[in-house]
Amino acid sequence: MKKFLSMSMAIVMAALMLAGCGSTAGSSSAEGSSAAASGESQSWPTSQLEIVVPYAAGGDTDFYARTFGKYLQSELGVNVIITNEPGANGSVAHEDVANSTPDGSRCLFFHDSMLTNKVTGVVDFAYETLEPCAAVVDDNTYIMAVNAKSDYYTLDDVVKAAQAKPGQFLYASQVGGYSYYLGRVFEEDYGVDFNIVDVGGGTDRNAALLAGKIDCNVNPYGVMKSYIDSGDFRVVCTLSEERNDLFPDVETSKEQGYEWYGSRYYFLSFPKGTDSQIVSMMADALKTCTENPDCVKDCVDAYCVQPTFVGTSDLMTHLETALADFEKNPELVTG
Amino acid sequence: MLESFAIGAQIVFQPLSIILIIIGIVVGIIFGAIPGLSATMALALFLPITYSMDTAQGIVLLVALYIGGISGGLISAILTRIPGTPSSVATCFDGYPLTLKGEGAKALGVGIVFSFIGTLISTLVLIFLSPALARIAIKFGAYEYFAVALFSLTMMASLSGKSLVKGLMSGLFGCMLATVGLDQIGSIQRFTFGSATLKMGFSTLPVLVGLFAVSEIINRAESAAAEQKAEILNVDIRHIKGFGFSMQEFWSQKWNALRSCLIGTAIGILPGIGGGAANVIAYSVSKDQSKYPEKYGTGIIDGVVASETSNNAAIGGALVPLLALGIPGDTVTAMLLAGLTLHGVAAGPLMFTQNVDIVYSVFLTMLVGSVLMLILEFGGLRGFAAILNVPKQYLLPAVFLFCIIGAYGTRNNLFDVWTVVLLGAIGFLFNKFDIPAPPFILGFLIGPLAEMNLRRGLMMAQGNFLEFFTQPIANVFFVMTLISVIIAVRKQIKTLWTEQ
Repeated sequence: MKKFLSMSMAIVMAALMLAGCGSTAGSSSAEGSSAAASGESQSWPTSQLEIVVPYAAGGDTDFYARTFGKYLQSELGVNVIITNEPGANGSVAHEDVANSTPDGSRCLFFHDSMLTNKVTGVVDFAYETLEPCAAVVDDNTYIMAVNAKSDYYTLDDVVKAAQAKPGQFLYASQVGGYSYYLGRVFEEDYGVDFNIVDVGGGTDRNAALLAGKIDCNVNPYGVMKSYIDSGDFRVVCTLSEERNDLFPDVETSKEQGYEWYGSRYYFLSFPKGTDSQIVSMMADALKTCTENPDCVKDCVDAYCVQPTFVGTSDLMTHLETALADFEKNPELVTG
Repeated sequence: MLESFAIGAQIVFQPLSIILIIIGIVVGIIFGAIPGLSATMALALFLPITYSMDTAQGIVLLVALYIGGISGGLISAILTRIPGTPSSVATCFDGYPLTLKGEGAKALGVGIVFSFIGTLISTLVLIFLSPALARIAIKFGAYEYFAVALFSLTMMASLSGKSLVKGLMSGLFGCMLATVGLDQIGSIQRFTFGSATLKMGFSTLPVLVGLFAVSEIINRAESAAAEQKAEILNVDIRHIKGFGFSMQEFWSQKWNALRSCLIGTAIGILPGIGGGAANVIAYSVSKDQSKYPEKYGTGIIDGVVASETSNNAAIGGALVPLLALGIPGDTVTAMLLAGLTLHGVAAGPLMFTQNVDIVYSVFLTMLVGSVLMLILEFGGLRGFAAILNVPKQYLLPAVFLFCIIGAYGTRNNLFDVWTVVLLGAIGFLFNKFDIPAPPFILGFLIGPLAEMNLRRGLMMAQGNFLEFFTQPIANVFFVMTLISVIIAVRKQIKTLWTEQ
């Protein structure tokens, strides 16, 4: 009995320590903020850095954050802690980090859904509440896949099939999600009328395509890779101008005569008001990580994505234009 | 297949792997046994640790945590009427009354043995049938899920106890509470009152922990205050023989165990439902099929058998679509999938050919792990029972503390802590007004599933509801729903007649 109790106590203490790391970051930040602004950047990073992931452990966002966290740890020489704070499409963590002390001890790892969250009305703010630092992944591996038993080989086939029976061709996505936007853009640009249906997230959509419950699926290559390798799925095209080095056999949408492109940034941001020197020091550290062959290998193995470094000013330009695009056509985002 | 087992055996029958399995089982049992901490949380905490391990060994550890975590919940459920995890809620219904009768050790023995049997049978199903079953599981689309969800919701009737009206109130309250937050289809805000935190919605663990654990703590505190003296249950530890029950009792449960095992495995296979619902559904089916349904809830081993067999059987079930197709069945298997992805293993249709080592080490971990679980829990039986000798004024506050910690740990957010407290108060009121809490679980877990699939189905059918009745599998469940409702109504009318 005593053994059991003491053991459980020990385990829980360990759990507490892990869970409590978030709050220690908060308390150390209080000390940091009292220092002068210039002193802040000199002493940064102090003892530890907390990266908040706005989704539960296990997804791609979580994976990238953990992978880069691992390499940042040796790059910055401090403890890097990953905290998962899921809820409301990531906006809970977004708001939380935006309200944190801007001393560089806490940052957010999010992607372009930060922008669509504003367009769908989940929140009324986007990146302006933060200091975007740098993007480390530009996921340009979006592809359209169909069941290998279907008769669709090119985008032309898909367009023909969709035009033959308007409102019947089943295109899977979730309202407000990125592939929803891509599908709506395709409908507008090429005059087709899909039936855009919700069948769930990445793995659910794989199951639905495998069972023939949907006609096509647009998602990053890595999510569908095992089914493409097994011959169950056929790739129609990548949604890019140039072929991807990791799967060079797949034709691009451009080659098939369609200007239909997709890519999504995964980027790190600090709370608004963080010392610009901290932001640039972090950007430099992230740049080194994206060039680290081990880090590249981790990302390629897990998701077939090559890390890409996008600096602060380029990231800002991307966020501005992307948000403007979404806001110009909100009906393409919200359905 | 033998060759594949040999490959798996090379990994699993290594000293390090066996140690990892033992660690996994022990830690899992502890996480399972402590209300507020769950199997999902154990995996979430250990996932980053496996990052630095060898792929197969990392997965071995995670699977062992899973088995231990689901089984461990029975200990606190039986001894204190506080379920250790959402998967063992139904274990309380008969387990605790058995403890009150002084048969706590027997209930523990039954729970442990049938947890083992549930894991074992579902593992055999997993090993021999997974590719075929996974192909059937993916045939379940929105129409079929809606039909299954609707049928599951009718189980509220048999979980209602004396008053069907109160049972339905509880169930519908569960459905209602689950709608708070962003809706699952269009991210529309519902009942958020402009609050940023309410947008998160209520998370399963804090809600169930609050309703079943915290409310029980408040109940005890109240009764202790009334009696001026905390209740002390004494368990005779010295005279426990074996697992505390006879062979005759064991064999009397064979059909009940088999049925519960099938229900658990089937629910596990269907992605999205999970062990939290499996134990409650298996319990209610067992009660409906029994020759003496009136005895359920008074402390008979049948109830413990149904709950504990089904929740562990759901593990094997949930691994079927994961290993065969890379589709996670519940939150825990989603963690396992993450573990595989972290190591660059693409879970999917090629797992059985490309990652034979991983697949068969999972199989062997399940088998070895379930035996080790049986041995470890048998060894701990007397120790567990001795928990009852700890004065309640020390034990319950400690449990409350764990509930709070566990709630915070789910999403690192204080909102979940308030949820536990709020639901504890609601559970206390339920008790005061004699409203049964079990239907609430079905409403809260299955209600959103029904809504989501109804809406997805309507999107597919472009608003034509009749499309739902064009699918054979869905129709089978619609007919079962109808029958279930008719039986429940008949029973209710009968009771009203006899009362008059």
